[in-house]
Order: sequence, then C-alpha cells, then structure tokens
Amino acid sequence: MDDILFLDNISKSYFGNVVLKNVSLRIKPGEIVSLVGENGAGKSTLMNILFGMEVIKNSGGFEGKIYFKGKNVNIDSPKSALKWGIGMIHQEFMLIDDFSIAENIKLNKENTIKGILTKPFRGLLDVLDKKAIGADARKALDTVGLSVDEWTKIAGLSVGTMQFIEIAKALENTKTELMIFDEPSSVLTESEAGALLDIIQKLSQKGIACIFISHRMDEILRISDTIVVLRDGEVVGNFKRGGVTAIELANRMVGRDAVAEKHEIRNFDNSPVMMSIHDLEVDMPGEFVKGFSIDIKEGEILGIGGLAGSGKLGIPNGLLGLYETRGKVEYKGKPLNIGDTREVLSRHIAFVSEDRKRVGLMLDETIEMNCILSSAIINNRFLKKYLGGRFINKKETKKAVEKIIKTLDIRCTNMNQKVGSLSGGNQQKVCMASMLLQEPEMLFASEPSRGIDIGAKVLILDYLMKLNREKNLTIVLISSELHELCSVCDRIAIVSEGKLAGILSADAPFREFGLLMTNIRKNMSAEQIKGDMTI
Amino acid sequence: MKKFILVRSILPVFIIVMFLILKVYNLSAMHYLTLTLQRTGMLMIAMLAIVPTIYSGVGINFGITIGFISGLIGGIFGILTGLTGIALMIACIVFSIPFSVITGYGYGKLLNRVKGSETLISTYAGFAFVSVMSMLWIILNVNNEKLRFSNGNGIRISVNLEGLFKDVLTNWLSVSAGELKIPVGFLLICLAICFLFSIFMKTKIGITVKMCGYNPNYAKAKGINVDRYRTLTVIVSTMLAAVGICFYAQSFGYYQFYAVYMNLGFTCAAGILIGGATDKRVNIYNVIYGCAIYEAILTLSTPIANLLLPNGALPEIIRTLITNGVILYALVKGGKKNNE
Repeated sequence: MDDILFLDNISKSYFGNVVLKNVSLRIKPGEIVSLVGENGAGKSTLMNILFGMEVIKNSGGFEGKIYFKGKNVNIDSPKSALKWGIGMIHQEFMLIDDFSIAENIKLNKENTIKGILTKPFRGLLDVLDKKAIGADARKALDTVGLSVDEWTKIAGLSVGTMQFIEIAKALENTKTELMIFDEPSSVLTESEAGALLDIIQKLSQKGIACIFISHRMDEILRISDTIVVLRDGEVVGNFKRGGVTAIELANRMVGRDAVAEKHEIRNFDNSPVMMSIHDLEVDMPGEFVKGFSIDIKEGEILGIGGLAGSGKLGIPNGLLGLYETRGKVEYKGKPLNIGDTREVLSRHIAFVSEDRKRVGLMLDETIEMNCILSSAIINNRFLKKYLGGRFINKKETKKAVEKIIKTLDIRCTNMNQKVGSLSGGNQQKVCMASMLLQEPEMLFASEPSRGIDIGAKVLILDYLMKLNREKNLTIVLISSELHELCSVCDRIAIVSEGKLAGILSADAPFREFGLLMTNIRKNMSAEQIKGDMTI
Repeated sequence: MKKFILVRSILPVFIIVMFLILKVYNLSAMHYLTLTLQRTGMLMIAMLAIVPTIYSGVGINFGITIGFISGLIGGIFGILTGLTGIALMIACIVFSIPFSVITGYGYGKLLNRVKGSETLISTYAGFAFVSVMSMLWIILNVNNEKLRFSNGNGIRISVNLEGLFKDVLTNWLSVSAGELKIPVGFLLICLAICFLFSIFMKTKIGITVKMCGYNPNYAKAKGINVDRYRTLTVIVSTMLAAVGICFYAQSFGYYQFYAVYMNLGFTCAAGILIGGATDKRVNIYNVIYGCAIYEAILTLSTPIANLLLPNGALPEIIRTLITNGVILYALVKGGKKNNE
C-alpha cells in the first residue's frame, strides 16, 4: 500500500538553534506511529510543522518536503492541514466554555438552512440547522464512545471528557485521514487513557493513520505499529511492533553517544541533613506536586529531574511560597514555614527561577538594580542610614556589582544597561549575580540553562560547581536535561507524577533514569522487566 | 536625544507664541504670567497625589477625588476651631490626615480586588464617593455662619475663605515687579514637598514600591507583600490629595463642596501626562514641568480664544478639551506599547 504521509528530510532551526536534523518518516494508512523522546527532542516541533502551526512560519519556516498521499503539499496553516485531512489533538484544549458540546464540535462547519438571503450574503446570514448539528455531533460523540448529551455546555466538564470532545471534533471532519495526538493521555486518568487507546485502535482499523506522542511507555508499547525515537532532533531508532522492549526504548531515548564529562561523585550518606522535606504538596498548575519527600544533605549537589509536568518545577516554587503549598519542611533542624517567602529567603535560602523574564528579573531596570535589590530588601545590605531613612549606598553597590560582572563575565556596556537588552545567557548570569549577592547557604536553581547558548550554559554550571566546592553551598539543581544533571550532581532524584520515583547516583546508567521517568517500574512486574532485558 | 528635545520644546514654543499674541492684542502679558505662576502652585500638590500609585503599578489614580473630599472633611473641622491664617491652614491639613488614611485604606483594598481595571474602577469609585458625600453635606448640621447655608441646615456649596486662610501662602515672600507678582514662598513650599516626596521614593520603602510596579511577580518572589505596598501608595496618594485640596482652596479662595471637584482628578492626571508621564512611568520632573505647562496653556489660551470667539463658556470648553484629549492620547499610547 502507498504511504499516506511521507516526511522527507525535514530540518528546522530556531534562530540558529537546530531542533530537527533531516528527519524522515513514512506512515501507511491505518498505521499507528508513536513518537518518543525526551523533552526538547523535537517531537512537538515536528508535529507543529505537519499541522502548519504559526510558530513555524514566524520563526523562519523549515527545510524539507511533505508528501501527503503521494502529492507534495504545502501546509502553511492549520486550516490547510484540515483541508488535506490532517487532524490534531493539542495538549491544550481549544474549546469554548460557554458553547454546548454540539456547537463546539461543529464550530465554523455548521449545517445551515438555506433561504433567499443565502446568495446576497454568501451564506453568512443563514439560519443554523440545530437538528442537523445535533445529529452530526451525536454521531461524532458515538464514535469516541461518549454518552454525554450533545447540548451540555463545555464549562464544568471533566478534563477527560473535554479531551474526548476534542477528538470527536477532529473526527467530525469526515475527510480526516491522519490524526495527530500530542500527549493526549497526560491529563487523563488511567481508565480514561485506556478508553482513549481503544479509540485510537478503532480509528486505525477504519484506515485512519495516527501519530501518537506520549511519555507513558506502556501505552506506546500497547498500541504502536511503529515506534520512532527522536533524540536531539534526529531519528535514532525506528522499531516495528514487538521488536523492542521498554528498557531498550528508554535507553535510546536518553542515552548519549558522548559520555557525560566525568566529575568526582561524592558520597554524603554520613553528612548532616540540611533540609528535610516531608509530603510536600504544591498546587502549581501543570506542575502539581503530590507528596514529595526527600532529605537534602549539607554540601551536596542534588539534581531533580523528570519529564515536563512531572512536578519537578513545583518543588522549588512551592518551597518559596509562590504557589499554594502544604507539607512539613525542616531546615537545619528547625521547622521552616514554607508558605512565607520572606522567612524562607531570610534564612539564606536563594532561588533562581525558571521563568527568567516574568519572575526572575525586572527587564526595564538596570543591571545594577537587578543585582542588588534582593539583598537590599531581604537582608538590608547595600543600604546606608541617612536622615532616619535607609537609602541605597551607591558606592558600595558599584564596587560589588562591578566585581560580580567581572566574575560571571556578564557581557554588557556598563552596569547601567537595561537587563531587557541583554541576551538570554547574560540575563541568566544577572539572575545568578543577584542570587550570589544574597550570600545564600542553600540554593534552588530551577532550569538555570533553559534557553541559553552552550557557552553560557557551561559557564553557569561550572560556576555552580565552583561555589559548591569552595563555599560549601548546598545546591538543588532542577533541570529537564538529564545530561546536564549527570555532569554536575552527586545524586539525582527523579520525580514522576508529583512523587519521588527514585534517587540514583549521577553515574548510574542512562536507562535507569529513563525507567524511573516513565514510571515503568510501577506499572510492570519485576519479572517483566527482567524478561525484557534478556530479549 | 534630538527627538526628545524637539518634542519637549513644542509646548514652551507654543507658550512663547501665545505671549507674543497677547502683546499684539495689547493684553497684559505680565498679568497672565502672574496668574500662571499662582495656578501652578495651586495644583502642584494635587498633581503630585497622582504619582504614588503610578509607581506601585496601580496606575493613574483618577479617584483622588476621594482624597479631596477627605481634605474637605478636615477643612470643616479646621474652620470649626475658629483659628485663622496659617494656623488654620495647618489645622485643616492635620485634621484631614486621619480621614484620608481611613478612606485611602478602604479605597486601596478595593483597588487590590480589581487588578487590571484600576483605571476604570478608580474613576467610578471617585464619582460614587462624591455623590455619597454630597448627601452627607446636605444633612450635616454645623453651627457656623461661614459653613452653613444662610437659610437653613447643610454645608454651603462654596465656603468663602476670605479672612480665614485665603492667599496666606501666596502672599508669603512674594516679590512684585510692576504688574508681575511672583509667589516665591508658595512655589518654594510646593517644590519642597515634591522634593521630599522624591527623596521618600529613594528610601528602601520607595524602592520596594517601585519594584512592585515594575514587576509584581519579581516582588512576590522576593517575599514582598505586593498588595500591602499598593495599599500604602493609595493611602499616600489620598493623603497628598487631601493636602493638595487645601493648597488649591488657599489660592482659589473657596472650599467647594458637593460635585464641584468631581472632575478635578482628570485635570491633575492630564497635568502630569503633559509633563511626560505615562500610566507606567513617572518622575518628579513630570509633575513640576507638567503642572507649569498645563496651567500656562490654559491661562494664556483662554484670553486669546475669547478674543477670537466671544463666548462665555469658552474657558471651560478649552479646559475639557485639553484635559480629556491628553488623557485619551496618553492612555492610547500606553496601551499600544503594552500590546507590542
């Protein structure tokens, strides 16, 4: 049978940063192809290209050709993708809350009753045919096995139901021949996810090809005809059904050809506990933490890793009191009131936020102000008393800021430059500078290397290690790049579904991390894992 | 820089041209210059009252009318003491402070609940407060000839300050040269208050307030209670407005009750916006420069416009036109910047 879709040597770079390198992919009608890979491996970018999302066009388009049913097609907008018969289920819902299910499903494709006004107004003033709309919606809902009344409003429905409505909406387009599922199961409960997989299989039997993206290995192994592994924008594995094990997939996903730079991995088993976290729960949207516990030892570098949405970002944000938080935390043997940002900071715990632009910096302010304000406000440093009021001590700040600019090699014209005009890497260095001037004893660095170039990344990671070794700073490094964690940390804790999945030494084999991240251990028996390993 | 000088010089050039026209029509330029200087002092503190909330990110406080009314309450208590002259003026200011703190606190809490639409809410909060207080004025029974309606109960619409504290500051240290009379002492006091305020904004509290305005998320991550600092600036703004209305009445010669001050907030906002402030950024020079320029335009353009178009209501029309035009321009410009 002919391929329904053939992606020919697709390459894409975002502003000089290559995210896809000559990716080719063939899909047959009715085939279920799963795409797996770490965060940032290029899965979503590839799907955005296929669906003609605007981000692609706005960032300079892509290279390579797309053949759909043997024809070279130019997909430049979601509309043209729909026209060709490609449907996509996004991670976020695109439903209108105040409309009923039927109205949402038939949005912009409404059945109308034609009349005398049809011609002069080109159908814009036609009356809606409610009956037909309802019937069409019912049919679509039946295909996905939803028994909800089609005239129920979207608002108030469960996330799972909404997901199924999204699918029904895509299927209502009778021309759909290829469906893209971008992590549809991440918001579903286990039974809902099971139902979803059944639907995908049913679609495939009808001849509709499906591309399925998921972080859950068991789901992928259950339904895929073909599994394609992406790593750093390249296809590193292409397996047929039954030709691969979970372990092998995990290994392919995270394994690097280049071994992580060796550094001395120290053992802190007998060191005193710096911070002990019990049953931490954080309500950070998209990064919920549901009962995370760990003991952080004095002087170590602890890495926290996990996939997007696993809750690893919620841990530092919750501890700093930026989101609703519950749980018991002891710091240096005394209880720490984690809801109170001020108290946490005043006990010399610093935080470098993953959201540089929104939380980490004041973009319209000078480098100088960004560097010193935290210490001035939290620790009353860089201030002098004058006429009963406390003012910024210009002389002292100038000295300190100039010194730190030199140490961290912040590239700027002078310290009065606005932070917003610096490059991402230099902005991150300013965040670090601000943190350093607070003279912390413990540091939570959340994704410090996100979105910055490799040179700045190496410098920042090296500097963190130097701080740890020379000033005995306890560091908790949260990152979605396992490679980065392995090159700096002593121990690495992997978070999955808001809980601690396990703690590994930084020199553990990559596949162990992969297994923890995708939570295979929990869903598979020991024999299964063993059996898989021998194949 | 070149563009900056060009933009900044348009208004002074306009004013000089108007002076020349006054000369041509044989009107006394010096008389109008004196008026301009007096009116500059008259409104400067009220305009300063707009500034604190811009720093903290609440935006332009159109509801400073609430502060004006608090100043009026202080004024009533002040006049009831029976003092006169500068002592009375100080008493009025002192009495108005507790009221402005209370109203400012409540008003600040309200603005924290409606984050994102403060501009709209503050406008209507101001209007509503004026109306509520109007009812209070009419039923208030005070035993004082100056305050009471001559034929019954309730506060007068205009309370004449002649013989109380009219012009006590304007005449203090004033220098006369022919027709020109410069209220040196009055202007110095106004500038001193502006200067003190700008020093306050450089203290730790002031910097924290600015931080809340620049990036509330950043401030929150540093353990700052953003809402508390927002409320603080609303209180300071209300207090300054209460003081400002005292200065205003001192120059004008009347305390005016009921709906008279309803739109004074817009005048003040227009003043600092002409001075170069936006709804996000402001400094003390915007206030001083803006106040002088705004008053100069109004004072000088009115006689000229009267010559060209004889009509009794013209000054009010010009005032409304300039005030609302400037506010509209500044908000549209600010909104555009936000979208980009």
